[in-house]
Parts: sequence; structure tokens; C-alpha cells
Amino acid sequence: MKLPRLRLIDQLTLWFLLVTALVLLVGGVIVFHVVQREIIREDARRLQDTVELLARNLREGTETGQLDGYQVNIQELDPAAREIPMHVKDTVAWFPPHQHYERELRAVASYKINDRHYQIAASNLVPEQDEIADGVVQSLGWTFALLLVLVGLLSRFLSWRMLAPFNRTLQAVKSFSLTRQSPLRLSPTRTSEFRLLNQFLEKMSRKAVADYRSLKEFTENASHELQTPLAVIRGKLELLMETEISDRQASLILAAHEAVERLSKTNQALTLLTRMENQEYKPTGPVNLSKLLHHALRAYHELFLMKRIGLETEIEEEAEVRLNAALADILLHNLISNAIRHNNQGGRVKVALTSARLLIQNTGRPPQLQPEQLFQRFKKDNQSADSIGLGLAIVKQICDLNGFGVSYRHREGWHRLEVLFDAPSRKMPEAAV
Amino acid sequence: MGTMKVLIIEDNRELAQNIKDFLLREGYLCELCFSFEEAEDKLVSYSYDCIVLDIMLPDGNGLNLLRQIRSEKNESSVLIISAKNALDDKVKGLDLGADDYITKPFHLPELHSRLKAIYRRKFLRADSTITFQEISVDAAAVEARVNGTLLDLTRKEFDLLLYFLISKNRVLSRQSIAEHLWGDYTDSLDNFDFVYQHVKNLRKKITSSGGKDYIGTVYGLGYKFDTGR
Repeated sequence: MKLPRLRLIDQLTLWFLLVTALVLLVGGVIVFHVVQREIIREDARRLQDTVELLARNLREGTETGQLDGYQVNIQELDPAAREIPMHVKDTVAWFPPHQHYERELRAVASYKINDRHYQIAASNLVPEQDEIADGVVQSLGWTFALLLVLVGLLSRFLSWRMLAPFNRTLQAVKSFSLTRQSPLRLSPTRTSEFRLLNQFLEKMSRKAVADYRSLKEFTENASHELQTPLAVIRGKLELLMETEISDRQASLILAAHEAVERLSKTNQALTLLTRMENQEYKPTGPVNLSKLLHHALRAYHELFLMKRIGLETEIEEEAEVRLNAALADILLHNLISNAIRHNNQGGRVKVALTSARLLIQNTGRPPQLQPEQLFQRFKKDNQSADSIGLGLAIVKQICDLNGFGVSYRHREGWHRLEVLFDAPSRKMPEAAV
Repeated sequence: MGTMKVLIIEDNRELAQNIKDFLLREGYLCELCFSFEEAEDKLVSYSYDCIVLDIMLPDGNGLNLLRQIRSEKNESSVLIISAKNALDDKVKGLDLGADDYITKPFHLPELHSRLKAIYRRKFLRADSTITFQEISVDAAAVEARVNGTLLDLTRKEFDLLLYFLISKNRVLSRQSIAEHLWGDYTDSLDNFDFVYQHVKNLRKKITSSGGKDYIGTVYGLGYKFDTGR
């Protein structure tokens, strides 16, 4: 079972009321017993006093005055009988006005006065248990109701007041972004817990920003440091090409030159992947993908002609997608060049674009890899020299980064690469607060 | 075009030397400096037509140097060198008044052609025509003529011809040509067939208009516009 999400203050209030209810319940029982005991004790004492007063009057022969509405009863007993000591009985008696039995307290004692033996009894109706209970329940019920209202109102007010710094912190954390590279600035608070929390968060964000910055710098420096020696090697080889060389030397230079090319391209692709992982390519707003696609296809026009590849397009005009413009360009170029590279001479390519999806299909040899492996880094279908095996990994990364779905299928001789621009499963969940 | 004076600011000595060696053959006057400080001194004392500036210097950011150059009303053209993918640097550099931008690792002929292009744009606006024997190319109008007859060239073929003319007697590798024509998107292409096709077409068009076939293959490394043919 899933419990509903409650705000902290509601939870506290609920717990508080639960405990209060328990305490009131136990308290009610105690109050009930104490009240009852006190009533009975007091009544018993008064009844005993009355009995004693009557006995004294009898002894002194004075007239018995008003007796506070107690029922008194004096009767003579056998003078030989033993005196009955004072005792109080808790009993029931017939109550004629109400035609039923009522609880009655009765003090009885006997006295031997002037050779006569009198039994004196005084009795009084006492409140029934359920009457006391009623009273207790009612008063505590009202107390509870009052508490409920007061706590309910006060807790909301207090939480609004006391949790204000916490809510401000929450807002600040929510809008914190590493790529903006500015640590959290939280407003001061007098609550020590929140102050601790804020200090901790500020420290953590500063550290995160510093780490991010150094990682970014490291990536850029590493890329630069690799590219400089590569540029040196390439330059030396180019200078060497212009000297007097033999065919044998030329082929050595050529091989070295090609290896350097590959190395530098791999380095560039890895740098791109790292920078994407660092979230450096924010969507720049809606990009007109149709325009970019037309442009990219034009750029590859000559290559299509050269490989005699037939191109069929079905492009919806003005299809817009939220994506970084540079990434959109890379995505399209990688997909198109992929469709050309893994194609046969005289093969075909079909490109279809709507604002919901991009589908690129091409003919070519059936794949030797599992479809999911195609998107992994350095997985190549054929270890051909002209591919570094990062093109589709980059495509996948771009799609992941922007919440697009990308899939590959091979069906009826066609390689189908499909990009879905709003794949529902990839939507980022909103942070619940 | 007079002798071009070039200042190369690059902390990697070998790379700086590569650039210098390459440009010396064009008859340029080249000076090298390897640090921010050294560059500042040089810039105060001398003036240059072109400055090749690496953004990442050990003792300072090249962009600051660029800012300095521009604030001093220094008219030199500036070509920035930077690591690939550093998009911010590119945008900032061009905003600060750099004339062009090239990423490492670059091809030396590419660097040279960029320098030439900047120089042409900046100092020789009136005459953007490059002539060699019967061939003349107007970079601004995008027109190429052989013996006065207009050649019917595609944009790529035109760029290729210009690249050859700027790099006369140089070996241009196929990668270098592909990158020159295609920019960033050569990584995924079969460069060789592509370049071969374009060179073939260009040669055919020049010879069929009565021009000499100056372009030849060199070992298998690439192509060369050979003035001695």
C-alpha cells in the first residue's frame, strides 16, 4: 500500500494529535476514577458526620436540626446486641420519583445511649458512574477539539514562519546547475539546524563546482596536450613529404600520416563525448531540423553521386526540435555518413523526417553485431580503416542527453536507424517537493 | 604582394618550427616566440602583417594577448590556433577581432591558405586575383579562367584550384585536401575516392580549356601543383 505524501508539518501535527488523544484517553480514565473516589470519600465523611451528630443529639436530648437533605433513619435495636461500628456501604436503593434503583451511599452505626440501643443510618444518592464518565468524556472531548483547531492553525503558521529558510534553501538547490558554475548562495537563518544545512550545502556546491571546473579543464587540457604533439607529427610528415624521397619512403610517410589522422579523429570524438557528458551542450532552443537536414544532404550530394547511391527523401518542412544546434549538425552528419559508408555501390538511402521522428534507412551488408552493440564505443561492424567506431556512440549520447529515443533494426535488407524526438520513457521526472 | 611578415606565437617549439619551415619556403619573414611575455615584447617593438596565435600559452591566455593587440589599434591580421571543440574560445576569439580560427591538429597547407585568405581580404581588397601563367583565379568573384576563357567549375572544384594555386609546388595530402573542402565533416568519409574524383574533374576542365596539366600525383601521398611541368 502506498501512503500519501504528507508535508512535514502535517506529519508532526498528526503525530502530536495521536499522542494527545492517547494521553487524553488515559487521563480520562484517571480523572474518572479520581473524581469518583473523591466524591464518594467526601460523601462518606459527611454521612458519618451526620450519623455522629444524630448520635450526639440523641445522647444530649437536643432536637435534631436540618440535615442537608440526607435521608436519616433511626431505629432501636436489642440493647443486648453488640454495638455496630461506623461503616459506609455502597449500595443501590429504590428511588421512587424515577421508578428505578439508584446508587446510594449509606453510613450506619449503632450507639448505646441511656440503656437503649439505637441504630443510626444516613444515606445519600451519589452520581452514577456513567454520569461521571459522561462529564469526563465531554470535558476532555471539548479540550481535544480546541487543541485540534489551535494546533491545526498554529502549526501551519509556525511552519510557514519557521520553515521559510528551509524552503528558500530548497528553491535554491532546485535551481542549482553545475554547468552555470556558480556555487549556491543561501540566505542566512537563525535556526541552527538550517544554518548547518546551508553551510553544508554551500560547501558541497562549491566543491562540486570546483570539481566540475577542474574536470572540464582537465578534459580540455588533455585534448590540447594530445592535439599539440599530433599537430607536430603531422607537420613534420608534411614537411618530409616535400623533400626528395623514394617511393618506399613515401609509403612509410603515408602510413604514418594516416595513423596520425585516425588518432587525431579518435581524440576529437572522445573529447566531444566527454564534453557532452559534462553537459556542455545545452539546447539552444528549437532548431529547424528540416533546414539542417537539407543542408547536410546537400553537403553529401557528391558522395551520393560518387557511390551511385539513390537518395529518397520525405522531409516535413519546418520540423523543429529542441536541441543544441551544433549537436543537431553532428547528429545528422553522423547518421548520413553512416548510411553512405555502410552502403553498397549503387545502393539506396531513404531519409524521412517529421517533427516527431527521423528515420534513416540504407541498404548494405547485413550487420554482424547485435543491434545494441552498434551504439557502444569502438564497436565496429567491420574493422574497416575508414571508421573509428565512435559515430553511433556519439549519436546515442546526443539522443540520451536530450531525451530522444534511438533504435536500430535490420529488416528486409534495410538498415533502419530511427530517432524518436519525444520518447515518453526518457522524460525526466519532475523533482517532487 | 610584398614580403609578408609573420609572427608565430606558439609555446610548442616543434610546432612553431614546423610552421616557420613551411612558411619560409613561401618567402615569408617569420619570427617565433614561445610565451606570452616574449610575444608582448615583440609586439611592442615590431609590426607584423600576420600573427599566428595559440590561445593556450604557458604564462597567459592568448585571448588576452589578442585583446591587447586590438586595443592598441594594431592592424595585424590574427589567426588563432586552438584545441578542437573549444567552441567558447572560437566565439570569443572572433568577437575580440581575430580574423580566422584554426584548430589543432591542422595541416600546414591549410594554415598557409588561411593566412593567404586573411591577407587577401585585408590588404588587397581591390585585386583578389591570383594568376599563374594561363590560369587566373578571382577569389572574390569566384571565377577561374584559362587563357581568358571562363571555366565551368563547381564550388568545390574552384576551392580546390585556389588551394592548389596558393600551395604551388607543395605536396597536398588527400586528407589535407578533404579537410580544406569539407571542413569538419571529413572524419567519416572515404576521403580518397572523393578527392580523387574532384582532382580528376578539375584537371579535365583545365586541360579541355587549353590549359596545361600542372596537377600531378606524388607517390601516393597526394597531389602537387607543379609549376615546372
